Amino acid sequence: MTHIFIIGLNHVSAPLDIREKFALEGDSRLTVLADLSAIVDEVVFLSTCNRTEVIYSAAAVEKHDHVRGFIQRLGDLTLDQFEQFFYCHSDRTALTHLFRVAAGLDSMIPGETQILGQMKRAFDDSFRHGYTSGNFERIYQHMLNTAKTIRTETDIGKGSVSVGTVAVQLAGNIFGDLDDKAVVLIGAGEMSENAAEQFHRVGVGAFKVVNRSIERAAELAARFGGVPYGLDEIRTPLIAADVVVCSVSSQGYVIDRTLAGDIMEARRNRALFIIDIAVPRNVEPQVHEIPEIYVYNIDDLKKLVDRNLDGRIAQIARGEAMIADRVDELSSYDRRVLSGLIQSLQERVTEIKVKELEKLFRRNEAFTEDGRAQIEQAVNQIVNKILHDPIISLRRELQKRERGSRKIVDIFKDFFNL
Amino acid sequence: MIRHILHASIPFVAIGLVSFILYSFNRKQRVFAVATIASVIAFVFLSAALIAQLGRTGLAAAKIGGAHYLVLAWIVMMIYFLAEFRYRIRLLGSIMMPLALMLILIGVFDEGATGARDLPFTSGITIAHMIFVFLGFGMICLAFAASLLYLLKKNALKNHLISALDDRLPALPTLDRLMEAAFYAGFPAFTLGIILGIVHAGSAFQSGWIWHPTIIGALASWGFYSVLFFMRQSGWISSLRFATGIVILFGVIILSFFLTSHQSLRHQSTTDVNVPLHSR
Repeated sequence: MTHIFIIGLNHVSAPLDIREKFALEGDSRLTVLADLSAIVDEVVFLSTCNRTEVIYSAAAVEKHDHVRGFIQRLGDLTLDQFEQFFYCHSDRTALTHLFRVAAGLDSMIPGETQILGQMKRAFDDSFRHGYTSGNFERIYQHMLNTAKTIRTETDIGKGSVSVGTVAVQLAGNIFGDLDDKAVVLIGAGEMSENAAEQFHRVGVGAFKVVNRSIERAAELAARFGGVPYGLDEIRTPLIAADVVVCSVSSQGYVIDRTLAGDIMEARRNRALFIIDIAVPRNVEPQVHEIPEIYVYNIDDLKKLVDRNLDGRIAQIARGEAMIADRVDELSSYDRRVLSGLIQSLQERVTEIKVKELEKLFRRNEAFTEDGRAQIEQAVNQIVNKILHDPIISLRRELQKRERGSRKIVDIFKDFFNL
Repeated sequence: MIRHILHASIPFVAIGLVSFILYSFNRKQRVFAVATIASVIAFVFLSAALIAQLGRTGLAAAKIGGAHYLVLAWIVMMIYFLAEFRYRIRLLGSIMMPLALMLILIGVFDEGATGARDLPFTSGITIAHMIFVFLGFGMICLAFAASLLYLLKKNALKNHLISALDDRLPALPTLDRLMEAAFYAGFPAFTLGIILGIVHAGSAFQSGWIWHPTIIGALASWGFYSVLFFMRQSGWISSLRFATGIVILFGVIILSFFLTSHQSLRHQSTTDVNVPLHSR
């Protein structure tokens, strides 16, 4: 009897130093996949920075122990460590877990889509190298459909969950199209650089970098085709700015209420979006009181990110309910296949039996009605006894197994020429 | 026959009304689809009823009780459908359609007493007055809906609310453009409508008509509209104040409109046909 198993670890079950031992890329990932395929019938090997999983099917339970041993050796782990950091799922729970992972319900950021791409790649590798059969293909299709349905029918992927993306989205809501907008970066450190990258990605072309050290400002400005300014010249770029990102280390406010009022007058009250990600803050809180200035500090942005994240977490239960339905669907599909198989087998045997009895009775017309009935009864009993065990075994499969095996179906079909 | 058509539209009006209001809270695609389908069906019924009535009585249909609400509802719905087709701002429907659908309900059920409320549509001038005023009002409805969304979005952005990130509430410049376009488009129609109304009132009504609340209300609305128009044109007011002004203007016009509907008795011409639409 073949079972499906998943052995794996993720960001919840294992710390980084353990996870990184199993985060394999390129050829080393394919080598591990090849080694695993020698142990089990079908196998898929998923390896990302946050998750490593071996998804496989095996008829014999001892093969499960072989896989465990292989993983222990791969990460140089003791049995205790293995049991502490790895989770094992089988059959229905394995399928449920697989669908959860694909839909992003099990990810660090619920609803993220990167994992689905990584899973597709893992399955594709196994299909390409022949490490899986039609059984996994069907599971794979179900997995993709389920992930897509969950994504479209729930709000699991709704709302930005990174500070940078939220800031860009807010800018879009204030200004609409960002292509012709000017971004002023106050500070030339890593945070300014990250912010510039985010805005550059959405099409902003005009950057101005303001910094104490004009050299450092020029360096960053050059990367994005911008213009450098010294901190003492801050007024000029602010008048032309649409978005201002403040991340300079300063004990006092870089933009206070007076300066903001002054530049707004010069700008004829054109909207200004200020993102203050510096700690301590660069922008005086009263600046936000000016109607056309929108000031967001790091806490404001994080609050929005958390709200979006909460919204996604709230959708997990809906996604799980959909997964339960899909797993049931997959199981009922197997039941339908096996029921059909039993029916075909019975029809085939009945057809042979009727044909052979007719031949026998045609050749020997001397048989009395009573004799014919006795022969027919005997043949029926023989046939039923022969069929009894395989049919019972198949029925037991239906009752016991949560997921069918393509291989059993194939063997049965070949065996009885169905 | 016409009564049956109008009554048949009531379930769709009710479904549309509830769904559009529901959509403003839950923002579900399916709810919006139901709201749109129901209101399109209601619109078709309404159009059929108005066309049938027009075919039967010609422009005299305009003086039938409740008809002015129905015509106004038809214009508001038409403007919403066009705006939705052009801008794809679904939340506009949550503001404009309940208003239009409510007008249909008032128009359908404004039976019996309606004859007494008929406007004195005895000439081409009064018909043109009504059409222009209604067109102007339809555009102000659109400007009002856009202004309300603008104020909501602005409030969300200023107060760091999660709806600041709601992409179903469009960016501020989009809403700004829409409210401005609708506001400007409504002004000539509304102005022409008011002028025609005053010309008619001066010639048809009793002396002292100029002090009647209907006329005062209409002139006050137009005056406020003109001031707002001039200030926006001159760049004296920000988008925030402009949006607030439009919301106030809408309130003033609604008040004036209902005042007009209920004060018309004194102005009524003796040649009016006081037959409710439903009894035909």
